[in-house]
Amino acid sequence: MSLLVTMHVYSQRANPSWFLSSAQESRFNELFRGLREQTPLKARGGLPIFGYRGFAVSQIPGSEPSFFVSRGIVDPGSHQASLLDENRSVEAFLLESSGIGLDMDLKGEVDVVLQAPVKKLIELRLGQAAGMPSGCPNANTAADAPSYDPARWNAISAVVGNNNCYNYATNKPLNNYATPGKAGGINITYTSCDGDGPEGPVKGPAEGAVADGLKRTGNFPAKLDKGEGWYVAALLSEKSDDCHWLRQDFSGCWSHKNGEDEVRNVDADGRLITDPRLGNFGKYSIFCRFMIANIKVNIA
Amino acid sequence: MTPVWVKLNIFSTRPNPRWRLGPDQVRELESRIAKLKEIPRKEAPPVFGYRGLVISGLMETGGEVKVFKGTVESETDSFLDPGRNLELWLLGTAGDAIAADIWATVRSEF
Repeated sequence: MSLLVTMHVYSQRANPSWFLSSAQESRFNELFRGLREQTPLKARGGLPIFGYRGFAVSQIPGSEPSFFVSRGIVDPGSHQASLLDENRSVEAFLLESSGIGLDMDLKGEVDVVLQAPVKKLIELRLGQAAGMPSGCPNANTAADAPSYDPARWNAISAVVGNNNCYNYATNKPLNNYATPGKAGGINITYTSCDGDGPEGPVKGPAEGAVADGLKRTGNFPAKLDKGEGWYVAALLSEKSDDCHWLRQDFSGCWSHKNGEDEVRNVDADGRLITDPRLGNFGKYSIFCRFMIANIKVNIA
Repeated sequence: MTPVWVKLNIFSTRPNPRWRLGPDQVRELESRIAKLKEIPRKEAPPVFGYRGLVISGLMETGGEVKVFKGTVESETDSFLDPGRNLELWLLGTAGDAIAADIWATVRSEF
């Protein structure tokens, strides 16, 4: 089956597209196989700026593109690493493959864009390095503690956007933006950690968490054996409008997910979190308490 | 046409307020984004409390666009938002989607 090429260039108008001939398809595959250098950058997901943005190559019209090629990056999808095409030979080939079907002025404009050096474009986009935790006290405190695995939470935008700090602390990426106490059948407010006590009508986030199956503890960092769960910490907002949860990873350091943001293992000062009582978490400045989560916790 | 939503990114546990842009607002947003200048991407420490606006439904790929403190970021690119103009304009589209007490917090950031 022929490959369909779509040039992403317009905002309102339909983008131009054309099929590759068998010979062109062979050449495209040959060029792709010739690329060796992997890059963490993806070609998909650029801002919808006007003008040339790259080529999508699809096996079936209307389907998700098999490849997206843009700014010297050949991106075969989220399950494979992108490849660097330093001289933009794949883009130049795809542009040329349009034949006489593409407006000559547009072809000329894109041809000029393709002269931009890839190295400079890459330098613009790179610049973030992940720090691996080291020097964490209380490592291996809890046998069940999850590993710090940000890719599990950060790689898919739907997972990033639909799970909050409570989902993360309890290690349940259920895409339900969970509220403490909801599964346990109680409504909470954020005015204090424990509301107005066990008999009072106002329930706080810690009481909600208990209703969901977490346990209060004043004994951190006592060892937790297999089956006993892992430590989490609740912090309250000084504005009494929200709370923030962290979890202790197997490394002994702490990590967290700030609402719909990505999972991180540093605080607001960029420091590795060795103790949630000591880190800078902005408005979540009131340490509430340590609690213990386990795989049986139910959140909604 | 895919609906375009804007979310106020402010809470950690509680759901964030969100609202939908009308067709004219989407055109205005696209026009504003088209004029932005690309800048190097930087990894910053997490911010707690108000951390800008998140736009969904705008990208061909389904990804989100984040607008905060003079920077506009997609999954792959970063652009400069001089004077936080785009951020302020987006806040102006919120209408009554943002409660008064939350507005007070947001205003204190500018």
